[in-house]
Amino acid sequence: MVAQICGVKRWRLHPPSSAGLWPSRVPYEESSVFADAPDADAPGGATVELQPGDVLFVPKHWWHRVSTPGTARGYALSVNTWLESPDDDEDRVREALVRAVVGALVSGLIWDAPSWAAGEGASERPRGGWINPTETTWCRSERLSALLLALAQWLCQAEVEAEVEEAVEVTVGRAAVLAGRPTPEARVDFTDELDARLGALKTSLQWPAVASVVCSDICLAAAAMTLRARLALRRATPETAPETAPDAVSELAWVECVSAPLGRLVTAALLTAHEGESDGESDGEIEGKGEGEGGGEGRSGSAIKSGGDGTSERRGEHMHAGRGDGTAERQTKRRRSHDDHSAELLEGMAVATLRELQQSCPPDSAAIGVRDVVDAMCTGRALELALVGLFNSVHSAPGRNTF
Amino acid sequence: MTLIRTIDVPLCSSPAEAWISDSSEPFVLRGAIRHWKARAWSLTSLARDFGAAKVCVRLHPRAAGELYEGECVYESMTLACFCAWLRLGAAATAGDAAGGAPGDDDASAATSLAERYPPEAFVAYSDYQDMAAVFADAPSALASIDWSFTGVARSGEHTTL
Repeated sequence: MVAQICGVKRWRLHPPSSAGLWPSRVPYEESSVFADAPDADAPGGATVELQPGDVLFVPKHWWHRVSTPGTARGYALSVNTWLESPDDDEDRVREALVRAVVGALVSGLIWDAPSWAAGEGASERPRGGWINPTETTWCRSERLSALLLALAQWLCQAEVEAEVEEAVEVTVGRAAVLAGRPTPEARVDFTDELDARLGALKTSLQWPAVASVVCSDICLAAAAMTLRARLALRRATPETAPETAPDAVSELAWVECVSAPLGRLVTAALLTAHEGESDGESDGEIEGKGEGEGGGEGRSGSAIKSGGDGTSERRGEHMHAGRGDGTAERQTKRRRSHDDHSAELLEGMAVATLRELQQSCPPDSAAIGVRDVVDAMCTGRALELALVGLFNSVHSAPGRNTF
Repeated sequence: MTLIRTIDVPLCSSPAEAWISDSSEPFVLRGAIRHWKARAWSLTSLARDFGAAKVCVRLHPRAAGELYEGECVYESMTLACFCAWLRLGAAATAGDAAGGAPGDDDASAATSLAERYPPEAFVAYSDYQDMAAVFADAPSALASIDWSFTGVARSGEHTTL
């Protein structure tokens, strides 16, 4: 709900499903997610000028573009509040997941002076364009605690098996204790316990059940893979202090992350489920795909095709924010759910990883194919955009730093 | 372009709560907050009553168009300073810089700010400011907000400026 206190604001709204509207970067907390605004006559769009005293209800995930009409020197004041929605729990998992990924891979807020303020000769655009500089970063324990708590709140609402509930309860109890510590310094590293807990979760589920629980709840699988990837990343850089991620993650490190055994296992399981073959799979077969190159490659071959075809068509629609007239507030943002696209994301990750492994690129090569990854992932929304952000941070060359 | 459904609150017999829970489309409750004390807020009154509150303001050149947050400059300042900067911008056209009386510190801070970011050439936007934090020492500011018409008993605690 938006209450207009002083001045006038012009709102243009478009439903979440509007054609041509795609987020262009990580939907990370309160950062805006820009997109080209569609034509004013686009179906389903609506416009209104909020006068002082008016209240606007903006449904969840609706794109909105706000400007202050009239004199450029005017001002407008409004206040907002957010009402609870039934699917908030699920969205919190996704947000916590994005935060876990972004926080694990970015050390602090990479934010240089804006180009317009950097003076003559500034050739590079600022590297921090994909995260709001006002965001605070969390330490690892905070991020993982938040993710586990969000997962628990979400899962405990759904009908899940008793083992899962128990595992989550134990984990959450641990996370709650950690979250209650007064300072980040006082918190302990529970990486090993987390590892064990994820392992127990996997065991208790058994892989046939992956189809009914993990694969139907993409987020949990993605969380497991992400957490695992983060742990692998840490192991890949042993000189790094436990609470300090490297400033820039090498592509090789990322490849190692997503190709870690559990990561590939989950990815293979997801691919299997996505292709509708989960019913016939035995534990051993999926395990084999996760740990052996051959099975995974064959499996991913079809994924490359389906993922690539779908995304390349849409790439042209995925554009930067358009230019505006510089009114005080003018942006389009969206937060929305990610169901189908999360699966596509994981396919894309697997595709990119396996393709890279097949090609045996040298560690210093830029040939992981940023465009390939973006192509594979630009149909998705949250985690994939975190990855785009990652690659933006790695590939900070001018002109490649935002997508 | 469709016009958004508008409901004149005094003429609306059903509570807004029902509209919210039933609606998958945006709508406007016209005049729904005319009773709010916050409706009396202005640059002058905010500077006078809550001027010591700290806000974070994002600035960028007007000519730069739309920018990501990371491409802007952030300045922390008192609300009085921000209001004074905004009044400087208004004065450039209206010739009326008077009204309100920010403290000397705020006035000089606003002058300094305007030297770096001329109001006629810059956009300033303070968003997602958690009112409970901004007005921690000014409970009357929080009490100026009342979301009860939504069906949720809530003042300015869960509100952003």
